[in-house]
Amino acid sequence: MLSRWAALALALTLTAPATSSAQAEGDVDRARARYAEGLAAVDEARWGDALEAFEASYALSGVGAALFNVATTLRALGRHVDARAALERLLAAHPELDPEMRAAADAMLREERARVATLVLAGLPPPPAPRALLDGVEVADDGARPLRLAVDPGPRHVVVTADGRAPFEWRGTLADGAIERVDVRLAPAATGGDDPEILLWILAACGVALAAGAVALGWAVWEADEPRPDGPQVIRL
Amino acid sequence: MRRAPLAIAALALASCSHGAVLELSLELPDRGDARFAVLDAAPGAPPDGAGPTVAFAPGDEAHVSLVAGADLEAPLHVRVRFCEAPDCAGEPSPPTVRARIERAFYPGVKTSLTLAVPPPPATLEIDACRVQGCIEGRGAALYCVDGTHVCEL
Repeated sequence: MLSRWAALALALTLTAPATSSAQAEGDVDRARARYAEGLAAVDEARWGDALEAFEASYALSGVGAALFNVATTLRALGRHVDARAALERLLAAHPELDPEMRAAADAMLREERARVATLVLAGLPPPPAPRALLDGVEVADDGARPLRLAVDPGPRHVVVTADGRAPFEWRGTLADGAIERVDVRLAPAATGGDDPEILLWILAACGVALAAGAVALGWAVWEADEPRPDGPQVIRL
Repeated sequence: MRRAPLAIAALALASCSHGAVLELSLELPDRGDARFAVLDAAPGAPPDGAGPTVAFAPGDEAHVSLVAGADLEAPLHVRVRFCEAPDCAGEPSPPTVRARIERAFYPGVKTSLTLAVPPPPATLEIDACRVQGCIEGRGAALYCVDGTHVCEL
């Protein structure tokens, strides 16, 4: 069996320009080193480190296998929107992919497309619109209304703020491929003093409910991922 | 925060180790002198006959799901005996094909393997990279760079 290392070396060699300079050869060496770092990180389930290493390897080498691993690492991190983008890029930019890797990427892309959820923010005024934050990160607003956001499934948090308006907040858990409509209502800012103790109790109740949801979600994920035999003939070892 | 321990518990639950399944498809040779192709399997060492078996008709395409026990990393030994009885009772030395699969199981993953079983007697060594299917799994589902399968990592 050709080792992973030998295969990568071969791939990098094949993709290196015939008239490569010493600088380019140095890039190939660094790409190999970062790729090996990525593999080691995967073995230890250090997904963040693996992603950084594979991205660097791809930037240095342009080898499709490195981008494939970027995509699979993103998937392992639960970043399905980014994984989908990486796979689309892989298939579009690497016609040299061997058929088996292309088939695997195709299959994974279908899965990722099915997993990415959509948040439809309705009720936003046209640009310049209030600021919308998704999980604390400001979302790009292209002016389309309603504003459609491709998001990873799981618990999501949207906050919309505007001058003179009370912040609008939405929390929810999106299933794979779900399309969730959120009606954004920006009420005038309250002028009176809210009772901080009541707010504290409300927040605590939300926290408990969120935690219970997380436990239920974890259990559901665990159950759903358990592999089960296909057919009636089964041997349990 | 009260919710923090619960959230951690949920994450821990979600990351618990999972079982593993190998979907094994066999193209069985036709042997006119045997009525049954009797399959059994064991991790780590060849089957000793004490475990469960399933019987198929020689010449058929057979399918069996092998559910891993505790040891996922040990080589999987598969045996196909060509017998007159569906449990090979009273046949101490039937014609046999043995296969040793370098690695068949990965945590939380359903893998698959298709084997063309040669006429007995024969012994097969199956490289781990012939086992397919990790793309469906959680976690370490990266592509094997040698281009033969997606299970190595």
